[in-house]
Amino acid sequence: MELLLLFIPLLLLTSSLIVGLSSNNLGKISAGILSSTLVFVALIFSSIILFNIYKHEDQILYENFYNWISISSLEIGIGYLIDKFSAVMLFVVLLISFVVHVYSISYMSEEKDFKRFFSYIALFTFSMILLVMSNNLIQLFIGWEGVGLVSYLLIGFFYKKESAIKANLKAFLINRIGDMFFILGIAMIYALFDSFDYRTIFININKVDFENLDSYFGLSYLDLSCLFLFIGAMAKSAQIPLHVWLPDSMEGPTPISALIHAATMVTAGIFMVGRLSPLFELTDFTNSFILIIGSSTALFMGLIAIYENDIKRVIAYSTISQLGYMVAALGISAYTVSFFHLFTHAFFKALLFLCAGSIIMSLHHNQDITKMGGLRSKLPVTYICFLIGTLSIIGFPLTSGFFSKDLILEVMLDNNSTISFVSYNMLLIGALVTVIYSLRLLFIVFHGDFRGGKLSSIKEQSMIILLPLILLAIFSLFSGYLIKTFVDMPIYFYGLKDIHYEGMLPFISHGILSPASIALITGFFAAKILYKDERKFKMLNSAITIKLKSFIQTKYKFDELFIYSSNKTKKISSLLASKFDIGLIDGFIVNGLPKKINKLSQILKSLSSGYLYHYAFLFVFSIVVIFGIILARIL
Amino acid sequence: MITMTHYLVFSLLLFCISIAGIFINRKNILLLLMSIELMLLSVNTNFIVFSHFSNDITGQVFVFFILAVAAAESAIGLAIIVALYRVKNSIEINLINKLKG
Amino acid sequence: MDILSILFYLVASVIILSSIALIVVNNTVHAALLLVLIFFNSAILWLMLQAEFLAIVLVLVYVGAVLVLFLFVIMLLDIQVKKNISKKMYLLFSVFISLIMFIELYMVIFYHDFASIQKEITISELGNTYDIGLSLFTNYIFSFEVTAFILLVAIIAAIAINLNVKQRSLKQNPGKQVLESKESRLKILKDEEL
Repeated sequence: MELLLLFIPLLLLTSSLIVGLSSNNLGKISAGILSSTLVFVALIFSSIILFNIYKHEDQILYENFYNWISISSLEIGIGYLIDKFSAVMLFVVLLISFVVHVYSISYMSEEKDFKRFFSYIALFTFSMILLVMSNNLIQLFIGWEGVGLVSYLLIGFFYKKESAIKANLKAFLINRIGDMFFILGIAMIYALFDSFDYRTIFININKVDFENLDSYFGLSYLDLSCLFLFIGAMAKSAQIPLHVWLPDSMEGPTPISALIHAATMVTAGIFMVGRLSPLFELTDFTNSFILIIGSSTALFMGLIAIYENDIKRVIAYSTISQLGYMVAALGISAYTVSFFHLFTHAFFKALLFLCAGSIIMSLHHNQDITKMGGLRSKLPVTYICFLIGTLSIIGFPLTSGFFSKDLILEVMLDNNSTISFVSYNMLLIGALVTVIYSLRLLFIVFHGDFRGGKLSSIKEQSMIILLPLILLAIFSLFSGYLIKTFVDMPIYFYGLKDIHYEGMLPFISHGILSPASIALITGFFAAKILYKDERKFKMLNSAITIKLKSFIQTKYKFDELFIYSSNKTKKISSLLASKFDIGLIDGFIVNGLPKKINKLSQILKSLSSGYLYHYAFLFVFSIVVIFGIILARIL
Repeated sequence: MITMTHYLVFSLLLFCISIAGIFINRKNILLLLMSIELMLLSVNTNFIVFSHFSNDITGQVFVFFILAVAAAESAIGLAIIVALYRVKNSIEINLINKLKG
Repeated sequence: MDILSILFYLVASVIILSSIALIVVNNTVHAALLLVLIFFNSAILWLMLQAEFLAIVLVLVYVGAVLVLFLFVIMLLDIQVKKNISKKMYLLFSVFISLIMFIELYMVIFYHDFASIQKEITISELGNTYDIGLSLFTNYIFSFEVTAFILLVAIIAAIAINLNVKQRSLKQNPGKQVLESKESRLKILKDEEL
């Protein structure tokens, strides 16, 4: 089984290399099929591992099979740590990756750089798997950076499009901010435990005397290091205020959006926090911080989605919002609950993205929802799949989203503190907002009349597109019933606090009767009234709503904040460059000193005239002076 | 009675005159060499004075060495002057100023 | 005042005066002859200090060899004696420097008590030459050999400096080639100059 485990990343790396480096002899379709097959084999391997992990309760696969760097006490290994947590993650990543691979064969078939695309997504999956399998922080970081790098390449896949290049640069730069903090956090953890290895860290966690550690800025050492780690996760998982890259990253091809934003990159932050949960569990401030960030992201990013008109950006904002739910759950130490939402979200969000891709393809790459409408009759399969995805995301009873989101709300309510109560309310409103924007999208795109010209030319895509949708729709519908597995799942070395779970039926009945259902119903009617019928659009034009709309459409000016702060930094750095670098270092030290020395040497040069009697004079004169000094001291 | 001090002041006088000779001379390199010979002579006299009054032969042995070295020095110096004259057709000191910063 | 004192003052004044004359004189031949006079008088002084061997060496080797060498060179080079254009400032400077030096060293002589190193002067039974020889060939034998070597080096150097090798073969001289310039080899003439 260990061998299978090693094969998973190798298969993906092989796929990436073969497809990426092959000559023209390897055709597009065969490259796609080869790539998909390799991912499929990896998926089967990961299913076997998942099955085995669950068969043998509490079995943990741990091995450090290669010592990469060894400098005295510093040891960096390459290895794996597979427990239930990472095994599930592995399965999800590979499943979504496989679906995206298959989907892309058709979606990208007209692209010239078809093989480059496949190489990238395989490499992307490889990096993600490296991150998930890792047994130490450095390997995690390598995967983390690999994911960031390939996301840069993928978002800028259409490298001739200016907006794509800007978007990928933005994603990369924002992630740099997070990564800087992340690596600081890793360093602080290393300084504390003298090891990068998870197992060593978790075993030693009880031996560290946290009381006597230094504190900085009023934060304890562990608080600060976990805060840094979380800021890294904020950039990756697109939390306020480091979320700005995610909506722009919709410039990449649609399957990429599904891969990056559903299952892989953005969940890396959640995964990391879950993985290091024993550390985060000991922090106080950081947990509250995580909770606040998560819940505000969930609410405010959802609001933006209501006014977006680009189909992919709507889903992108909904992704950020849903990630907010996961992060908020992390903030109250409900790691498995958060992971459960990650699990279900991966399916329905990938489904929504791929449906959007299908729609975009049918409409000849039109992404503006104001030009859509009434597509229900023309794209029946896509419609049903999209409907399932939407129902899941809004938490319609018995769909997967219902279970996971309700669980988050329940544990939030269970947590008796003011801050979690506020968060609970924010998340509840967020649930309402989710309903509104999701149904708005559904109604505008699929109901009403078509607004983009002739409807007749639109037709359903081929089966290669539709099969993945159907597969994901099935998962979206039924993955929620695995709730018991997740509630019981122990995260490595850490027993989660008890969640009162009394079985499926009580949970469902409780969930239906919860305030979330009220939010669901209210949202449904709000969306129905506001968006179902075109004529009602006018209702939105009252003064208050216009103000609200224009406020939300500024996206809370986060972009402007970044631009402003970078401009300020630019000014400061240009000042520094001109005064310090050019003035002091260049002007005084680098060029100034030689100039001064040159002047001095010009003066000294005149002493060395070449005339014998000058030299003799200097010689005798110095002797006289030295002799005079000696004499003065003696006498 | 001539004491040690008389001899020492005499040789000091000789030494200072020869130093002045080096500075005063700006034309003739041969005179320069002669000044140096004069300087050596005053030093030798000093040696002999001390040797005589402290009744120690070592000072005279050193004068012997100095004489030998001075002879060698003036031989080489004169050879250089001859070679210089061949190149520059002159032995004026103020024309020799190539070695400078 | 005994006869030795009179002799000392006489000899010393001759030496001082002629050395002053030497440094200001323009004629090189005169200078060389003044040097001969100085050396002779120095030899007398040295004799008074009972350094017979060195006095003789000074006359024989210095006056006989080195100063004759000087004279040879003077004759050989046929120097046009130009007026020494020494400026007044230079003269002032040199007098000033040597005066300071004189004062400093005089203070040393004046303040130093030489009585401690003075001993009763005895006259060697076997003579000054014997004593020097004994010391040279026992205590200072190595220095003596080195002196011989220095003299050898001086001979070789003097010859090497002035050896004028005539070029008989067609071998190339890279140093000369490098120093050649275009202008020294090639001259471009205009039509009308032809």
